[in-house]
Amino acid sequence: MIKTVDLTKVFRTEEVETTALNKVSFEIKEGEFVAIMGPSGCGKSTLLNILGLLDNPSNGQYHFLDNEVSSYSEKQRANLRKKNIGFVFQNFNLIDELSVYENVELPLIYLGYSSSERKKRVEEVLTQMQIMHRKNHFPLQLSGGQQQRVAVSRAVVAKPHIILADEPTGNLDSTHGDEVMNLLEELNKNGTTIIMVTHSQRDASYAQRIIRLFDGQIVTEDKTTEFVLTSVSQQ
Amino acid sequence: MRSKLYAAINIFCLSVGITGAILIALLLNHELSYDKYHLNHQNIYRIEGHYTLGGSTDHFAITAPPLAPALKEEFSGVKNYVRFHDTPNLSVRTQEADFIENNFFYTDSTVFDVFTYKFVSGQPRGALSQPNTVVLTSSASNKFFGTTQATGEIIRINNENYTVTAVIEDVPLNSHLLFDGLISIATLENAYTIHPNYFWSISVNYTYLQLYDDVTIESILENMDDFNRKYIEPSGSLLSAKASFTGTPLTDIRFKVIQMSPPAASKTSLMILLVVAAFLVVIAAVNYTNLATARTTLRAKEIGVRKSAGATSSQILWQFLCESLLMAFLALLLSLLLIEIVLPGFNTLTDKAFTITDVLQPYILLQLIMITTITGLMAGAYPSFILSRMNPARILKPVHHKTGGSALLRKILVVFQFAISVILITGTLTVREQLDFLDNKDKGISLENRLALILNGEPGNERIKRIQDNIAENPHILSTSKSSSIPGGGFNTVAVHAEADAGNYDAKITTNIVDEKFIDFFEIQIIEGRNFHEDTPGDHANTAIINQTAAKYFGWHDNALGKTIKWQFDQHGIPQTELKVIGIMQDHNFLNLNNPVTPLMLQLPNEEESYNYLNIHHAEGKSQEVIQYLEDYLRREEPDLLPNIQFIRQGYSESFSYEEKLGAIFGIFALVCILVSFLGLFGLSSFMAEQRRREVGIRKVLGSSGRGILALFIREFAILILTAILIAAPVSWFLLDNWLDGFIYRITMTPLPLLIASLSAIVIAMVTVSYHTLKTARMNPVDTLRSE
Repeated sequence: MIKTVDLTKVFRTEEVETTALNKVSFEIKEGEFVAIMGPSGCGKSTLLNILGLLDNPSNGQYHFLDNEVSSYSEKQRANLRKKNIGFVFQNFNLIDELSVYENVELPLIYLGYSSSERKKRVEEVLTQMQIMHRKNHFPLQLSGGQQQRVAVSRAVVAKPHIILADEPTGNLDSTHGDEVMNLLEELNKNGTTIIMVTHSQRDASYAQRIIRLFDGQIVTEDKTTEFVLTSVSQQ
Repeated sequence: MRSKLYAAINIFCLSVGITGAILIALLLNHELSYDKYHLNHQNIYRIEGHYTLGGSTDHFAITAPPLAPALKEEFSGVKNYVRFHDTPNLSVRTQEADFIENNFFYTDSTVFDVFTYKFVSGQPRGALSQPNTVVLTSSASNKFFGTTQATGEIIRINNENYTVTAVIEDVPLNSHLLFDGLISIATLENAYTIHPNYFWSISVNYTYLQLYDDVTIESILENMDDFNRKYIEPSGSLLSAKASFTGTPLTDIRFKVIQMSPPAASKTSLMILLVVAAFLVVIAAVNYTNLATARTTLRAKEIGVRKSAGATSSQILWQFLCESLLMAFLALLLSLLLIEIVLPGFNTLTDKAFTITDVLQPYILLQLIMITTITGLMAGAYPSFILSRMNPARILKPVHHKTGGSALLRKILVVFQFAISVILITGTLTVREQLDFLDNKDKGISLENRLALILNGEPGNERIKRIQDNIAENPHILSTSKSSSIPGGGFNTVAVHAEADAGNYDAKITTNIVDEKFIDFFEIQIIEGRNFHEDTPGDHANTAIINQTAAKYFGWHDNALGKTIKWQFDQHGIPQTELKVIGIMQDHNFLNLNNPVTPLMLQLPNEEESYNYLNIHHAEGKSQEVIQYLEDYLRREEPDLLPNIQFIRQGYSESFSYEEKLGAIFGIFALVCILVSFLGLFGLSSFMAEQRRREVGIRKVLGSSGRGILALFIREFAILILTAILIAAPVSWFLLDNWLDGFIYRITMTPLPLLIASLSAIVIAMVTVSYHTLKTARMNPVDTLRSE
């Protein structure tokens, strides 16, 4: 489903050149739940942005659903993105001026759904996420956990193949964090591919596989359990 | 680079606002200072006359010559009086050169006791007590003699010798009555002492009274019954006319609109200007606020660092207030430069002579510093307050702040700015359209390619005839005609008895003494009856041609031919002249398009009467040649007659100079307003784009195209602009329709000017908004959504 070959991303300013990703190659199969871990500045977010078709790599190949997309234009990427990828962010990134309902409805508008279809889908997903009773509230009126549930609702409403989650529990306490992780696990069981960037060992334990980055390169790529054992033995 | 652009926009915007405010402050200070330099200004009044005849009342700033001495005689509260009698088209000669002068007055010798003028040479006492004496201003003295020390020199005025008895400094421009020279009224003594009854019925001079300190003008004007019985009624009864008088304080005359008064300033216009000044400053400050708040996110880090280093909120508040004050004072410096640039244009527009030194007068400077400080504080208050309250812990986190209330305020201000812009553009276009309409309107009379040689009744009729015959040889001169008045110039209006079914009908009618060519010369249509025949002796002093309005006014309708008009009453009220109507001419606008057509009669002169104008119709495009020819001819053949030649059209056009200026002022303020609104919108859209970067990022991640984002932003601003247009449409329609109602001849309003104005506003707004939005919309969403 996703395959990268020697994926490289270099940021250039006037004087400094930073290599955020250095020849990263891996593959993710449909239905997998993969966590990406690593210290700050290791290139996790850069990788996630490229995987999420928000950014192009400087070099290397990126195969997304059997298309080589590394040199796609912004418009082509946007088209592919809105049909196939749902995003969940650490800071939720809900639009404060729009209600819960309107926030969740947004991707469907950009996909050109009719308003009756949108209503059906939004209410379905809000019920599923147990946030239906808050549909007319605005994001700032909700708790962090509720906001993230809205964000997850928005990510899944268009039934994407992949969900990209960037530190989804980073701004939540452990109870709310578990709630969100359970939601993601549930989605994964129903067949959605999930790629998650995280700092949290606990969150990573939900994944089937962990890709560990350091200084823009993959250090290990293991099954969760094995990784936990390895990291314990290293300590 | 970015912050340099913002600073430049800020300073420029503020300086435009401050410049506007300074110019208006200058003008207001000037307008409100009129005539206050006279030491006695609190005790001086101008007496105005209100005359009722034939069912209507006329109000004049001028009164009859005997009024002033009679008032002093009868009322002990009157300390002194001064009369000013206008005498235009004077021919002035010195040994070196000759001049046509239009700003001389005959005046009483008391003028220097009542009014305050500074003497350059000569003495105030007795300066104007003798006949044929004249006092000149410095400029006039310099012009005539090349020196301001002309006391004792001899000057020829209308071919008589006058002695210059004193030279005074130029009359300050903040005087309602401006002049270049004063001639002793004693010179007119003969003319001023003919039969008093006759004189009470004509108004020729301004009458100023100086009262004693404890006397009010009301105490005199409210006790006029005996005065009226003694002086006014005996003469008024001749024509069943009534007269009454009012007094205007000297310092209020500048704002008094009344016939024959020197040009007045409109208090309403000044109020509008004051509002515009306040508006300019507020908008400039608002623009600063918008731009500054737009940059809060950029400065947030700085504040976080400052606060974590120990700065208190009030220190931060003061830092930003000082910053905006500094901006305002930098803007003030730029304004002074801007003023230096725009002052000549402003002077032309307002007929003033301000210089940069006027701006630097202590009291104006004080006002400037106040305006600037207020502007700086107003501009900086909101962003300083917001910035100083920022929590350093929150600043470092990517949390954004909601600004609901102030966002609404900003939107209201944008609507307000654009509504004003649309009103001003609509106004500019409509004023232009009306002026074009007046310019092209069929006046019922031909004025193009026609010149008038001003004779002032000086040369005898035979000499005029000689000139007329001689210049007819010039191939460019098509025809000539003589008259006592010309279209667009001054006319005499007289009281007459018009023949009525029973007895007489007292009425007023404007007269013009003409030759038989006059009707053809101006291409006026005779619709009934015939033209004059100069060779028929019976036509002289016995016949009249009247216009349609006169026939209607006298109630003659279809049978006006053969009716009689009696006038020129003697001291017993017996008319000396009886005219028979021989022709009806089509109505034409003989005064100008500011006045409706009133009753008019033309007549041939009697033996004693002479003409004031020799009118010359020349070939198309030959005006300069013909003027040159006439000047050469007169200097050669008639050396004592000064060539005073004017375009007949000029008198017509001059009557709309105020409207022309109004149009220009409208246009300029429209431009400034659009510029400031444009910059304001630039600021606001940059603010919104900045504030909504995250939202744009989210929307793009969720699949919105750049075009979709642009449409979203434009829709929001379009709502503001459309609201502005909805407000501007009825307001401008109402204001302009009212303004147009002040014209006798006006255009019918169409939506076209409003449409053009609205479209310009929309285009300008869309271009401005698109600039920022496009940048934001093109941005990679990754940049706005970083959470690390």
